[in-house]
Amino acid sequence: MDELRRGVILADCIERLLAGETASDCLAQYGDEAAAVLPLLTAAARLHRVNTYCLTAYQRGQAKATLRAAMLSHNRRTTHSGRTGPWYLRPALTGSVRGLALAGMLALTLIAVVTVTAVAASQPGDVGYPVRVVVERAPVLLKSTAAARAAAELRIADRRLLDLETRLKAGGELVPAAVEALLAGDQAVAGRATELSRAERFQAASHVAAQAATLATLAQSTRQMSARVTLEAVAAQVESLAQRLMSDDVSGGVGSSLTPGPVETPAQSGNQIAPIALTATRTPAAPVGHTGTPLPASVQPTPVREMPTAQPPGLGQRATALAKTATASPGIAATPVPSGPPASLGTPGGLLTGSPIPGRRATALSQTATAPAPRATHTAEPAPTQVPIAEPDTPVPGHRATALAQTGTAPAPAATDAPVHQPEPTSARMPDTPAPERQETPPAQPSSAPVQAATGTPKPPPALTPDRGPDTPVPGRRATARAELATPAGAGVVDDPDPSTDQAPFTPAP
Amino acid sequence: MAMQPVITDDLIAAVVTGCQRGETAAIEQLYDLYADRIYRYLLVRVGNSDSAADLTTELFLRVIKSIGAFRLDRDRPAATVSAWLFRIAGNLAAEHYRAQKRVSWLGVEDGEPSFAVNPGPEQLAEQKEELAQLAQAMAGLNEEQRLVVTGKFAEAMTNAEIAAWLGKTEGAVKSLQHRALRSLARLMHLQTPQERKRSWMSYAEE
Repeated sequence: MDELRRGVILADCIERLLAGETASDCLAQYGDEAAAVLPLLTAAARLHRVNTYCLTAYQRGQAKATLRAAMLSHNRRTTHSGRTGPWYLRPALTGSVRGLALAGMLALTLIAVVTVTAVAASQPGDVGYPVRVVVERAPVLLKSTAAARAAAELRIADRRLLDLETRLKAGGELVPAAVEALLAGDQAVAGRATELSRAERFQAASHVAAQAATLATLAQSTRQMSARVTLEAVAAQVESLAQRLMSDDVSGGVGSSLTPGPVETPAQSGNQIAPIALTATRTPAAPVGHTGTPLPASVQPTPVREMPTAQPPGLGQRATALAKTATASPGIAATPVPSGPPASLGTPGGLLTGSPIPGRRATALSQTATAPAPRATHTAEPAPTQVPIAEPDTPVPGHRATALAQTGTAPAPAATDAPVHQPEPTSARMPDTPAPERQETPPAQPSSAPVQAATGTPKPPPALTPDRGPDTPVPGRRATARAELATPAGAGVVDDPDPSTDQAPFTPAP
Repeated sequence: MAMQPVITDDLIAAVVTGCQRGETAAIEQLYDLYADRIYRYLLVRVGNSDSAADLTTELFLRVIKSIGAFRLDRDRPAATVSAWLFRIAGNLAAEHYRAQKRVSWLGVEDGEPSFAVNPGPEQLAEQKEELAQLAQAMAGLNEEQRLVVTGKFAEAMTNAEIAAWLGKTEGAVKSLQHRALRSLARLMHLQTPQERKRSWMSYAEE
């Protein structure tokens, strides 16, 4: 209670003290309690006297001069340090320079954003579309496994297909860049086919086949003739890639498919057939269904023309090759042709008809085809007994080659008249009846032999060279191979009717 | 008592902004606004007029160096600047006190205090003794108590102003003021033994 009372007295006295009264005047009315408050009020009064102290004018002037100098020095130091010294110690650019730098950075950022947006939203025909096509392929490079890469390629090809579809439905023209990218994606998938498992390959094949179907539908729906032709060609190529992926034998490298070299015309010398080389040259693709009627250059996009394909040549081409092979030698016409189908072709278990391992068969054929034969010879003499005939159930490539040689050399005159331009009959794919005794009894049916040789065979071998897929039979090449197979090294089958002119005249066995 | 310049939030905000731009006029204006207050605070801390004046100048030199990094509270600029300046002043006084102890040990006498008025020799001696005693007593207070009694008696600020300046309530300011006065009276040997005993007992009760 006393403390509270003293506090009230002290507060009152302090207010009066600050108002100008003295301590004794303030405490005069409080009697006995004043003694307790007096020391505090005295301390307050002494402290309050400090209020009369202030700086003199001289001290102020000196202080202000010092402060001005210090401020100027500080400003100079700040400005000075901003212009010298290493860049990382300098303050940021000042004034207008900083503003310009910021404006430039903002402008660059804006330009970058606009460019990226424009490229991302570009459609076929736009300026930025090629850039988009290239940029969108970047994720493929980040994939580590072949399956992931193939999937990425297929996704990109789907995008390009969608671009094409959108473009054509909008009435625009076909864009080569999109076609190129689409084919490139599918080709890349096909090129990695060997790295894929069977299931992955089939899955990719179905995907590519779906793309081909879409392309075909798109070709049918487009009104522009040139675009339709091009799309059909592209669809055929994509379909071919799908078939190749679907097949088992992709070891030859699907992406680098080889088309048969141009079938060379036989030597005009007359007696000899010029060797029809299986030249592994890349030739422009001949789209299916357009054989003989190539696309106009203005319509056909570049990738379509340059893309190596495994398209089988047209039937006409194949037939022409066969005809040339068979009719080039005049001796063939006078040659008694062994009758009956070759053993290897006629037996159900023969190499061509019943070969359980296409890869082996193709390899054997290719090896045989590339045997050192100086020229393809068509003997004027039947030599059925000289050629080891393959047993029905023994797929021996060498034997088969010999049989093929027999087949190719026998029926010259009839081959000329053979329906080489006719499509391959259905029966040709069926295995013929076995003829185990053919070599002992050469048949006298010259007219049917060449047809069998050309068309009476089962489905053509899947590949004549390692670079060809199994689903791309090339009859012309096959016939050529047979022609070469007819003269394996040392076989003694000569084309020249004059045995003395040849190196190893063949003496037919009785 | 000298006329105290009126300090407003807008004025302080403008002055501080000018100082941060490096304007000499702004630093002079800031000096005019706060120099006497700082000087009196330093005077009761160091007990010497010349030292207080030098320390006041030194304080504003430090302000020039660090004003660029100072962040003004836009809600209460004047209080922010006052608190900042008196914090620097407290540091300067502490540094001076440490240095003075070292100089006293070496036998060097402190300079004579100067006064605002021209005192006679006797008055000058009394004032010197009084300031020395006051500074010695102030050294026994904590910083909050020093600020409160300095604001209340040396600057004639109201409790509300001190509360706003220190960010405390008026009741807290009154309590701080009462304790500071009791401590000062005790340290200045103004209490009788009975009062001193009573003060100690009440202090112990608190």
